[in-house]
Amino acid sequence: MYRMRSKASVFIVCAAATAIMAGCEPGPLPDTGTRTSEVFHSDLLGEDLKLSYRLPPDYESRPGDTFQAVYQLDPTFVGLREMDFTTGYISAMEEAGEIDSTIVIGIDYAGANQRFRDFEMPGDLTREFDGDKIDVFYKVMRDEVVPRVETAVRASPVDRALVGHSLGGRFALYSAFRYDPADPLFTRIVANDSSYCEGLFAMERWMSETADDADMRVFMAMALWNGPQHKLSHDWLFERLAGRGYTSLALDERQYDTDHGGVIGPGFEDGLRFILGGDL
Amino acid sequence: MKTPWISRIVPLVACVVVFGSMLPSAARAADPFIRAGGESDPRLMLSMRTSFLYSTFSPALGFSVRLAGYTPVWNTARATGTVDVGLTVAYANGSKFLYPWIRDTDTYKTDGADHYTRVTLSLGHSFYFGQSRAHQFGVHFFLGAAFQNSTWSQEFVNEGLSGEATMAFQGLAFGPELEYTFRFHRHVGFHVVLGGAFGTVPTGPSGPMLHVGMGLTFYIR
Repeated sequence: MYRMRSKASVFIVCAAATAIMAGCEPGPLPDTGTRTSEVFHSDLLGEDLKLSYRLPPDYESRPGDTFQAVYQLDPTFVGLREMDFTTGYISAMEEAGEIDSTIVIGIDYAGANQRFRDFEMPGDLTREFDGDKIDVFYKVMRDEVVPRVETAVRASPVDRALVGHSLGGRFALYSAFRYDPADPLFTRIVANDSSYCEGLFAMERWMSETADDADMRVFMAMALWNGPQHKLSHDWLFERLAGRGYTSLALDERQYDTDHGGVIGPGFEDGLRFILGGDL
Repeated sequence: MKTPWISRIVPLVACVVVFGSMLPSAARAADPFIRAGGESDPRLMLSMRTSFLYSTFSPALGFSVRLAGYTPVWNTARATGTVDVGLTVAYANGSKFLYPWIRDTDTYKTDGADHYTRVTLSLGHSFYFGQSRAHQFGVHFFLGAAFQNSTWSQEFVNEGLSGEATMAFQGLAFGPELEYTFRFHRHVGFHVVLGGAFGTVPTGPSGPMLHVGMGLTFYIR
Protein backbone atom coordinates (compact mmCIF):
# COMPACT_ATOMS: atom_id res chain seq x y z
CA MET A 1 0.00 0.00 0.00
CA TYR A 2 2.73 2.39 1.01
CA ARG A 3 4.69 1.56 -2.13
CA MET A 4 1.66 2.17 -4.29
CA ARG A 5 1.03 5.59 -2.77
CA SER A 6 4.67 6.44 -3.18
CA LYS A 7 4.55 5.60 -6.89
CA ALA A 8 1.41 7.64 -7.24
CA SER A 9 3.13 10.64 -5.75
CA VAL A 10 6.07 10.28 -8.12
CA PHE A 11 3.73 9.97 -11.09
CA ILE A 12 1.71 13.02 -10.09
CA VAL A 13 4.85 15.08 -9.56
CA CYS A 14 6.22 14.02 -12.98
CA ALA A 15 2.92 14.78 -14.70
CA ALA A 16 2.71 18.18 -13.04
CA ALA A 17 6.31 18.97 -13.95
CA THR A 18 5.66 18.04 -17.55
CA ALA A 19 2.55 20.19 -17.61
CA ILE A 20 4.46 23.11 -16.21
CA MET A 21 7.20 22.63 -18.80
CA ALA A 22 4.58 22.63 -21.54
CA GLY A 23 3.21 25.90 -20.24
CA CYS A 24 6.61 27.50 -20.00
CA GLU A 25 7.09 28.57 -23.58
CA PRO A 26 8.85 31.90 -23.58
CA GLY A 27 6.41 34.76 -23.46
CA PRO A 28 6.76 38.23 -24.93
CA LEU A 29 9.78 40.31 -23.97
CA PRO A 30 9.26 43.61 -22.11
CA ASP A 31 8.10 46.55 -24.18
CA THR A 32 10.26 49.64 -23.66
CA GLY A 33 7.90 51.94 -25.51
CA THR A 34 4.64 53.61 -24.62
CA ARG A 35 1.18 52.49 -25.67
CA THR A 36 -1.84 54.46 -26.78
CA SER A 37 -4.95 53.48 -28.68
CA GLU A 38 -7.91 54.97 -30.49
CA VAL A 39 -11.17 53.80 -31.95
CA PHE A 40 -11.32 54.53 -35.63
CA HIS A 41 -14.42 54.29 -37.83
CA SER A 42 -14.03 52.55 -41.17
CA ASP A 43 -16.52 53.77 -43.74
CA LEU A 44 -15.67 50.86 -46.03
CA LEU A 45 -16.46 48.29 -43.37
CA GLY A 46 -19.19 50.32 -41.73
CA GLU A 47 -17.77 49.52 -38.30
CA ASP A 48 -15.18 50.62 -35.79
CA LEU A 49 -11.60 49.43 -35.64
CA LYS A 50 -9.29 49.77 -32.69
CA LEU A 51 -5.81 51.03 -33.49
CA SER A 52 -3.13 50.44 -30.87
CA TYR A 53 0.12 52.36 -31.06
CA ARG A 54 3.45 51.44 -29.57
CA LEU A 55 5.73 54.47 -29.69
CA PRO A 56 9.49 54.08 -29.26
CA PRO A 57 11.23 55.45 -26.12
CA ASP A 58 12.76 58.36 -28.04
CA TYR A 59 9.56 59.35 -29.82
CA GLU A 60 8.98 62.55 -27.81
CA SER A 61 12.61 63.59 -27.85
CA ARG A 62 12.73 63.56 -31.66
CA PRO A 63 9.76 65.77 -32.56
CA GLY A 64 10.80 66.39 -36.13
CA ASP A 65 11.43 62.77 -37.11
CA THR A 66 9.34 60.04 -38.61
CA PHE A 67 9.82 56.43 -37.55
CA GLN A 68 9.69 53.18 -39.42
CA ALA A 69 6.32 51.51 -38.96
CA VAL A 70 5.33 47.90 -38.33
CA TYR A 71 1.65 47.09 -38.80
CA GLN A 72 0.56 44.12 -36.70
CA LEU A 73 -2.50 42.08 -37.66
CA ASP A 74 -4.48 40.18 -35.02
CA PRO A 75 -2.74 42.03 -32.17
CA THR A 76 -4.88 40.49 -29.41
CA PHE A 77 -6.72 37.62 -31.11
CA VAL A 78 -7.70 34.85 -28.62
CA GLY A 79 -5.05 35.89 -26.15
CA LEU A 80 -2.14 35.02 -28.42
CA ARG A 81 -0.56 38.42 -27.62
CA GLU A 82 0.87 38.83 -31.11
CA MET A 83 1.40 42.57 -30.69
CA ASP A 84 3.13 41.95 -27.36
CA PHE A 85 5.52 39.52 -29.02
CA THR A 86 6.25 42.01 -31.77
CA THR A 87 6.76 45.00 -29.47
CA GLY A 88 8.96 42.90 -27.20
CA TYR A 89 11.26 41.86 -30.03
CA ILE A 90 11.24 45.39 -31.44
CA SER A 91 12.25 46.75 -28.02
CA ALA A 92 15.08 44.24 -27.66
CA MET A 93 16.40 44.96 -31.16
CA GLU A 94 16.18 48.71 -30.58
CA GLU A 95 18.14 48.39 -27.35
CA ALA A 96 20.74 46.22 -29.04
CA GLY A 97 21.13 48.79 -31.80
CA GLU A 98 20.05 46.30 -34.47
CA ILE A 99 17.20 48.44 -35.78
CA ASP A 100 16.05 52.04 -35.80
CA SER A 101 13.36 53.25 -33.43
CA THR A 102 10.07 51.76 -34.54
CA ILE A 103 6.38 52.44 -34.20
CA VAL A 104 4.16 49.35 -33.99
CA ILE A 105 0.51 49.67 -34.92
CA GLY A 106 -1.99 46.99 -33.95
CA ILE A 107 -5.02 46.69 -36.23
CA ASP A 108 -7.83 45.34 -34.11
CA TYR A 109 -11.60 45.36 -34.02
CA ALA A 110 -13.55 47.55 -31.62
CA GLY A 111 -16.35 44.96 -31.70
CA ALA A 112 -16.40 41.30 -32.59
CA ASN A 113 -13.34 39.95 -34.32
CA GLN A 114 -13.90 39.69 -38.08
CA ARG A 115 -10.69 38.07 -39.29
CA PHE A 116 -12.66 35.17 -40.78
CA ARG A 117 -14.36 37.72 -43.01
CA ASP A 118 -11.52 40.11 -43.70
CA PHE A 119 -8.69 37.64 -44.31
CA GLU A 120 -10.64 35.17 -46.44
CA MET A 121 -10.34 35.15 -50.20
CA PRO A 122 -13.46 36.14 -52.14
CA GLY A 123 -15.19 33.34 -53.98
CA ASP A 124 -14.29 34.94 -57.31
CA LEU A 125 -10.79 36.30 -56.86
CA THR A 126 -9.87 38.34 -59.94
CA ARG A 127 -6.93 40.42 -61.10
CA GLU A 128 -9.04 43.50 -60.51
CA PHE A 129 -9.36 42.63 -56.82
CA ASP A 130 -12.87 44.01 -56.77
CA GLY A 131 -14.42 41.24 -54.72
CA ASP A 132 -15.48 41.18 -51.10
CA LYS A 133 -13.73 39.96 -47.95
CA ILE A 134 -9.94 40.29 -48.24
CA ASP A 135 -10.22 42.60 -51.26
CA VAL A 136 -12.27 45.01 -49.18
CA PHE A 137 -9.98 44.82 -46.16
CA TYR A 138 -6.97 45.62 -48.32
CA LYS A 139 -8.79 48.79 -49.42
CA VAL A 140 -9.51 49.53 -45.76
CA MET A 141 -5.81 49.25 -44.96
CA ARG A 142 -4.68 51.26 -47.99
CA ASP A 143 -7.33 53.99 -48.04
CA GLU A 144 -8.33 54.33 -44.39
CA VAL A 145 -6.02 52.74 -41.83
CA VAL A 146 -2.60 53.71 -43.17
CA PRO A 147 -3.59 57.34 -43.90
CA ARG A 148 -5.13 57.57 -40.43
CA VAL A 149 -2.01 56.13 -38.75
CA GLU A 150 0.31 58.46 -40.64
CA THR A 151 -1.80 61.38 -39.51
CA ALA A 152 -2.11 60.30 -35.90
CA VAL A 153 1.57 59.47 -35.31
CA ARG A 154 4.83 60.14 -37.09
CA ALA A 155 4.89 56.78 -38.88
CA SER A 156 7.03 56.76 -41.99
CA PRO A 157 5.33 56.02 -45.32
CA VAL A 158 8.56 54.48 -46.59
CA ASP A 159 8.98 50.71 -46.39
CA ARG A 160 6.00 49.98 -44.21
CA ALA A 161 6.14 46.54 -42.61
CA LEU A 162 3.20 44.15 -42.21
CA VAL A 163 3.26 41.26 -39.76
CA GLY A 164 0.67 38.50 -39.67
CA HIS A 165 0.19 34.99 -38.35
CA SER A 166 -2.14 32.29 -39.71
CA LEU A 167 -4.94 34.07 -41.59
CA GLY A 168 -3.02 37.26 -40.85
CA GLY A 169 -0.08 35.68 -42.65
CA ARG A 170 -2.35 35.07 -45.60
CA PHE A 171 -3.27 38.75 -45.64
CA ALA A 172 0.41 39.66 -45.39
CA LEU A 173 1.21 37.56 -48.45
CA TYR A 174 -1.86 38.88 -50.25
CA SER A 175 -0.52 42.40 -49.63
CA ALA A 176 2.92 41.39 -50.88
CA PHE A 177 1.44 40.06 -54.10
CA ARG A 178 -0.51 43.30 -54.59
CA TYR A 179 2.89 44.89 -55.03
CA ASP A 180 2.74 48.16 -56.95
CA PRO A 181 6.24 49.50 -57.65
CA ALA A 182 4.88 53.01 -58.21
CA ASP A 183 3.15 53.19 -54.84
CA PRO A 184 3.84 50.14 -52.70
CA LEU A 185 1.68 49.82 -49.62
CA PHE A 186 3.84 47.34 -47.71
CA THR A 187 7.36 46.34 -48.69
CA ARG A 188 8.40 44.48 -45.53
CA ILE A 189 6.44 41.33 -44.92
CA VAL A 190 6.42 38.72 -42.15
CA ALA A 191 4.06 35.90 -43.10
CA ASN A 192 4.12 33.59 -40.11
CA ASP A 193 2.56 30.13 -40.52
CA SER A 194 0.20 31.50 -43.14
CA SER A 195 -3.08 29.93 -44.15
CA TYR A 196 -2.08 29.02 -47.68
CA CYS A 197 -4.70 28.74 -50.36
CA GLU A 198 -5.02 28.47 -54.10
CA GLY A 199 -5.72 32.19 -54.47
CA LEU A 200 -2.30 33.10 -53.12
CA PHE A 201 -0.62 31.05 -55.82
CA ALA A 202 -2.76 32.71 -58.48
CA MET A 203 -1.85 36.14 -57.11
CA GLU A 204 1.84 35.31 -57.04
CA ARG A 205 1.61 34.20 -60.67
CA TRP A 206 -0.26 37.36 -61.65
CA MET A 207 2.41 39.47 -59.98
CA SER A 208 5.13 37.64 -61.89
CA GLU A 209 3.34 38.42 -65.15
CA THR A 210 3.33 42.16 -64.50
CA ALA A 211 6.39 42.88 -62.35
CA ASP A 212 9.98 42.54 -63.50
CA ASP A 213 11.25 43.20 -60.01
CA ALA A 214 9.94 43.37 -56.46
CA ASP A 215 11.75 45.67 -54.08
CA MET A 216 10.60 43.94 -50.92
CA ARG A 217 11.87 41.97 -47.98
CA VAL A 218 9.68 38.92 -47.33
CA PHE A 219 10.02 36.37 -44.57
CA MET A 220 7.92 33.21 -44.53
CA ALA A 221 7.73 30.96 -41.47
CA MET A 222 5.89 27.72 -40.85
CA ALA A 223 5.27 25.26 -38.02
CA LEU A 224 6.20 21.73 -39.03
CA TRP A 225 3.51 20.18 -36.84
CA ASN A 226 0.89 21.47 -39.27
CA GLY A 227 1.72 18.51 -41.44
CA PRO A 228 2.46 17.62 -45.05
CA GLN A 229 -0.16 19.71 -46.87
CA HIS A 230 0.96 22.87 -45.16
CA LYS A 231 4.59 22.10 -45.85
CA LEU A 232 3.90 21.38 -49.51
CA SER A 233 2.14 24.73 -49.90
CA HIS A 234 4.82 26.60 -47.97
CA ASP A 235 7.66 25.07 -49.97
CA TRP A 236 5.91 25.56 -53.30
CA LEU A 237 5.15 29.22 -52.69
CA PHE A 238 8.62 29.97 -51.35
CA GLU A 239 10.35 28.18 -54.22
CA ARG A 240 8.15 29.89 -56.78
CA LEU A 241 8.86 33.31 -55.36
CA ALA A 242 12.57 32.58 -55.02
CA GLY A 243 12.69 31.37 -58.59
CA ARG A 244 11.21 34.47 -60.21
CA GLY A 245 14.56 36.21 -60.43
CA TYR A 246 13.49 39.44 -58.76
CA THR A 247 16.86 41.11 -58.23
CA SER A 248 15.64 43.46 -55.48
CA LEU A 249 13.67 40.87 -53.54
CA ALA A 250 15.16 39.74 -50.24
CA LEU A 251 13.47 36.48 -49.32
CA ASP A 252 14.00 33.99 -46.53
CA GLU A 253 12.08 31.32 -44.69
CA ARG A 254 12.26 29.14 -41.61
CA GLN A 255 10.48 25.95 -40.55
CA TYR A 256 10.12 25.39 -36.82
CA ASP A 257 9.62 22.17 -34.92
CA THR A 258 6.53 23.39 -33.10
CA ASP A 259 2.82 23.91 -33.53
CA HIS A 260 0.67 26.71 -34.91
CA GLY A 261 0.68 28.67 -31.67
CA GLY A 262 4.26 27.92 -30.75
CA VAL A 263 5.58 29.43 -33.97
CA ILE A 264 4.33 32.92 -33.15
CA GLY A 265 7.35 33.87 -31.05
CA PRO A 266 10.23 32.47 -33.10
CA GLY A 267 8.59 33.31 -36.43
CA PHE A 268 8.05 36.94 -35.45
CA GLU A 269 11.51 37.27 -33.92
CA ASP A 270 13.35 35.92 -36.95
CA GLY A 271 10.99 37.67 -39.33
CA LEU A 272 11.34 41.10 -37.74
CA ARG A 273 15.09 40.71 -37.60
CA PHE A 274 15.14 39.80 -41.29
CA ILE A 275 12.85 42.49 -42.61
CA LEU A 276 14.09 45.33 -40.38
CA GLY A 277 17.62 44.43 -39.48
CA GLY A 278 19.02 42.46 -42.34
CA ASP A 279 20.17 38.86 -42.58
CA LEU A 280 19.40 36.34 -39.89
CA MET B 1 1.96 5.05 -47.66
CA LYS B 2 4.12 4.01 -44.73
CA THR B 3 2.61 3.16 -41.38
CA PRO B 4 4.51 2.87 -38.13
CA TRP B 5 5.61 -0.65 -37.24
CA ILE B 6 3.75 -0.45 -34.01
CA SER B 7 0.49 0.07 -35.89
CA ARG B 8 0.80 -3.44 -37.29
CA ILE B 9 1.74 -5.01 -33.97
CA VAL B 10 -1.14 -3.57 -31.99
CA PRO B 11 -3.96 -5.55 -33.67
CA LEU B 12 -2.03 -8.79 -33.24
CA VAL B 13 -1.40 -8.17 -29.58
CA ALA B 14 -5.03 -7.24 -29.07
CA CYS B 15 -6.27 -10.44 -30.68
CA VAL B 16 -3.91 -12.63 -28.69
CA VAL B 17 -4.93 -11.07 -25.41
CA VAL B 18 -8.64 -11.07 -26.21
CA PHE B 19 -8.75 -14.73 -27.13
CA GLY B 20 -6.27 -15.68 -24.46
CA SER B 21 -8.39 -14.12 -21.80
CA MET B 22 -11.33 -16.28 -22.81
CA LEU B 23 -9.50 -19.57 -22.26
CA PRO B 24 -10.25 -21.54 -19.08
CA SER B 25 -7.54 -21.09 -16.53
CA ALA B 26 -6.66 -21.62 -12.95
CA ALA B 27 -7.36 -17.95 -12.43
CA ARG B 28 -11.03 -18.78 -12.43
CA ALA B 29 -10.65 -20.17 -9.02
CA ALA B 30 -10.85 -16.60 -7.75
CA ASP B 31 -13.38 -14.04 -8.81
CA PRO B 32 -11.69 -11.80 -11.37
CA PHE B 33 -13.62 -8.77 -10.20
CA ILE B 34 -14.57 -6.86 -7.07
CA ARG B 35 -16.94 -9.16 -5.26
CA ALA B 36 -20.54 -8.29 -4.42
CA GLY B 37 -20.72 -6.43 -1.17
CA GLY B 38 -17.19 -5.19 -1.58
CA GLU B 39 -13.81 -6.38 -0.39
CA SER B 40 -10.63 -4.97 0.97
CA ASP B 41 -8.23 -7.86 0.42
CA PRO B 42 -5.08 -6.49 -1.21
CA ARG B 43 -5.21 -9.04 -4.02
CA LEU B 44 -4.10 -8.19 -7.55
CA MET B 45 -6.65 -8.43 -10.34
CA LEU B 46 -6.11 -7.99 -14.04
CA SER B 47 -8.36 -6.67 -16.74
CA MET B 48 -8.13 -5.81 -20.38
CA ARG B 49 -10.08 -2.93 -21.86
CA THR B 50 -10.64 -2.85 -25.61
CA SER B 51 -12.19 0.32 -27.00
CA PHE B 52 -13.25 1.78 -30.29
CA LEU B 53 -12.29 5.42 -30.27
CA TYR B 54 -13.27 8.63 -31.99
CA SER B 55 -10.78 11.40 -31.54
CA THR B 56 -10.87 15.04 -32.44
CA PHE B 57 -8.44 17.96 -32.64
CA SER B 58 -7.36 16.26 -34.95
CA PRO B 59 -10.13 13.88 -35.98
CA ALA B 60 -9.42 10.16 -36.17
CA LEU B 61 -11.01 6.76 -35.69
CA GLY B 62 -9.20 3.96 -33.93
CA PHE B 63 -8.97 1.59 -31.04
CA SER B 64 -7.07 1.06 -27.86
CA VAL B 65 -6.13 -1.87 -25.68
CA ARG B 66 -5.33 -1.38 -22.02
CA LEU B 67 -4.00 -4.04 -19.71
CA ALA B 68 -4.56 -3.02 -16.13
CA GLY B 69 -3.70 -4.36 -12.73
CA TYR B 70 -5.75 -3.18 -9.78
CA THR B 71 -6.13 -3.86 -6.12
CA PRO B 72 -8.67 -2.77 -3.49
CA VAL B 73 -7.46 -0.10 -1.12
CA TRP B 74 -10.63 0.82 0.73
CA ASN B 75 -14.10 -0.53 1.20
CA THR B 76 -17.36 0.75 2.61
CA ALA B 77 -20.87 -0.57 2.60
CA ARG B 78 -21.62 1.23 -0.65
CA ALA B 79 -18.42 1.21 -2.62
CA THR B 80 -14.95 -0.21 -3.01
CA GLY B 81 -11.97 1.79 -4.15
CA THR B 82 -9.03 0.45 -6.10
CA VAL B 83 -5.69 1.70 -7.29
CA ASP B 84 -5.19 0.91 -10.96
CA VAL B 85 -2.03 0.72 -13.04
CA GLY B 86 -2.27 0.21 -16.76
CA LEU B 87 -0.42 -0.10 -20.00
CA THR B 88 -2.30 1.19 -23.05
CA VAL B 89 -1.59 0.90 -26.72
CA ALA B 90 -3.78 2.98 -29.02
CA TYR B 91 -3.95 3.53 -32.73
CA ALA B 92 -6.08 6.03 -34.63
CA ASN B 93 -6.40 6.85 -38.29
CA GLY B 94 -7.29 10.36 -39.45
CA SER B 95 -8.38 9.94 -43.03
CA LYS B 96 -9.64 12.62 -45.34
CA PHE B 97 -13.32 11.80 -44.84
CA LEU B 98 -13.01 12.79 -41.19
CA TYR B 99 -12.02 16.33 -42.20
CA PRO B 100 -15.29 17.84 -43.47
CA TRP B 101 -13.56 21.11 -44.30
CA ILE B 102 -11.16 19.40 -46.69
CA ARG B 103 -12.96 18.74 -49.95
CA ASP B 104 -11.78 18.46 -53.52
CA THR B 105 -12.83 21.06 -56.03
CA ASP B 106 -12.27 21.33 -59.77
CA THR B 107 -8.99 23.08 -59.11
CA TYR B 108 -7.83 21.58 -55.80
CA LYS B 109 -7.31 17.93 -54.96
CA THR B 110 -5.95 16.33 -51.82
CA ASP B 111 -5.82 12.90 -50.26
CA GLY B 112 -4.08 11.17 -47.40
CA ALA B 113 -4.27 10.24 -43.76
CA ASP B 114 -2.71 10.78 -40.37
CA HIS B 115 -1.70 7.73 -38.34
CA TYR B 116 -1.49 8.17 -34.59
CA THR B 117 -0.06 5.61 -32.17
CA ARG B 118 0.32 5.99 -28.44
CA VAL B 119 1.92 3.78 -25.84
CA THR B 120 1.16 5.04 -22.35
CA LEU B 121 1.33 4.06 -18.73
CA SER B 122 -1.59 5.04 -16.56
CA LEU B 123 -2.28 5.35 -12.89
CA GLY B 124 -5.65 5.97 -11.39
CA HIS B 125 -8.37 5.30 -8.93
CA SER B 126 -11.63 3.46 -9.45
CA PHE B 127 -14.86 3.32 -7.51
CA TYR B 128 -16.87 0.11 -7.68
CA PHE B 129 -20.35 0.75 -6.44
CA GLY B 130 -23.74 -0.85 -6.06
CA GLN B 131 -24.37 -3.97 -4.01
CA SER B 132 -23.04 -6.09 -6.84
CA ARG B 133 -20.04 -3.81 -7.39
CA ALA B 134 -20.83 -4.19 -11.07
CA HIS B 135 -20.59 -0.46 -11.74
CA GLN B 136 -17.17 1.14 -11.92
CA PHE B 137 -16.13 4.74 -12.37
CA GLY B 138 -12.45 5.41 -12.87
CA VAL B 139 -10.23 8.45 -13.10
CA HIS B 140 -6.83 7.84 -14.62
CA PHE B 141 -3.85 9.84 -15.74
CA PHE B 142 -1.67 8.57 -18.53
CA LEU B 143 1.83 9.43 -19.64
CA GLY B 144 3.71 7.99 -22.57
CA ALA B 145 4.96 8.22 -26.09
CA ALA B 146 3.02 9.45 -29.09
CA PHE B 147 3.91 8.67 -32.67
CA GLN B 148 2.44 10.39 -35.71
CA ASN B 149 2.99 9.53 -39.31
CA SER B 150 1.17 11.65 -41.88
CA THR B 151 1.14 11.26 -45.63
CA TRP B 152 -0.86 13.61 -47.80
CA SER B 153 -0.91 14.51 -51.46
CA GLN B 154 -2.04 17.84 -52.80
CA GLU B 155 -2.64 19.38 -56.21
CA PHE B 156 -3.37 22.93 -57.34
CA VAL B 157 -4.61 22.12 -60.83
CA ASN B 158 -4.53 25.63 -62.30
CA GLU B 159 -1.06 26.29 -60.94
CA GLY B 160 0.47 23.06 -62.21
CA LEU B 161 1.55 22.08 -58.72
CA SER B 162 1.19 18.59 -57.30
CA GLY B 163 3.09 16.44 -54.86
CA GLU B 164 3.04 14.19 -51.84
CA ALA B 165 4.84 14.49 -48.53
CA THR B 166 5.24 12.32 -45.48
CA MET B 167 6.07 13.66 -42.06
CA ALA B 168 6.74 11.73 -38.86
CA PHE B 169 6.76 13.02 -35.31
CA GLN B 170 7.41 11.57 -31.88
CA GLY B 171 6.24 13.29 -28.76
CA LEU B 172 5.20 12.95 -25.17
CA ALA B 173 1.51 12.61 -24.40
CA PHE B 174 -0.12 12.94 -21.04
CA GLY B 175 -3.59 13.62 -19.82
CA PRO B 176 -6.63 12.48 -17.89
CA GLU B 177 -9.14 9.80 -18.75
CA LEU B 178 -12.54 9.02 -17.28
CA GLU B 179 -14.25 5.67 -17.68
CA TYR B 180 -17.47 4.05 -16.67
CA THR B 181 -17.90 0.29 -16.85
CA PHE B 182 -20.86 -1.98 -16.26
CA ARG B 183 -19.90 -5.59 -15.72
CA PHE B 184 -22.70 -7.73 -17.12
CA HIS B 185 -20.88 -11.06 -17.08
CA ARG B 186 -18.35 -12.74 -14.84
CA HIS B 187 -15.63 -11.94 -17.37
CA VAL B 188 -17.03 -9.12 -19.47
CA GLY B 189 -18.20 -5.55 -18.99
CA PHE B 190 -19.23 -2.68 -21.23
CA HIS B 191 -17.48 0.64 -20.86
CA VAL B 192 -17.44 4.19 -22.15
CA VAL B 193 -14.38 6.36 -21.95
CA LEU B 194 -13.56 10.05 -22.31
CA GLY B 195 -10.04 11.41 -22.33
CA GLY B 196 -7.84 14.29 -23.27
CA ALA B 197 -4.19 14.57 -24.13
CA PHE B 198 -1.88 17.50 -23.70
CA GLY B 199 1.10 17.94 -25.92
CA THR B 200 4.42 19.34 -24.88
CA VAL B 201 6.02 21.70 -27.33
CA PRO B 202 9.56 20.71 -26.36
CA THR B 203 8.99 17.09 -27.36
CA GLY B 204 6.53 16.77 -30.23
CA PRO B 205 2.84 16.49 -31.04
CA SER B 206 0.76 14.31 -28.76
CA GLY B 207 -1.82 13.34 -31.37
CA PRO B 208 -5.53 14.09 -31.05
CA MET B 209 -6.44 16.18 -28.04
CA LEU B 210 -9.76 14.57 -27.16
CA HIS B 211 -11.08 11.06 -27.47
CA VAL B 212 -14.29 9.27 -26.67
CA GLY B 213 -14.84 5.59 -26.96
CA MET B 214 -16.71 2.49 -25.97
CA GLY B 215 -16.05 -1.21 -25.89
CA LEU B 216 -15.67 -4.28 -23.78
CA THR B 217 -13.65 -4.86 -20.67
CA PHE B 218 -12.46 -8.39 -20.00
CA TYR B 219 -11.81 -9.47 -16.43
CA ILE B 220 -8.87 -11.82 -16.70
CA ARG B 221 -7.77 -12.60 -13.20
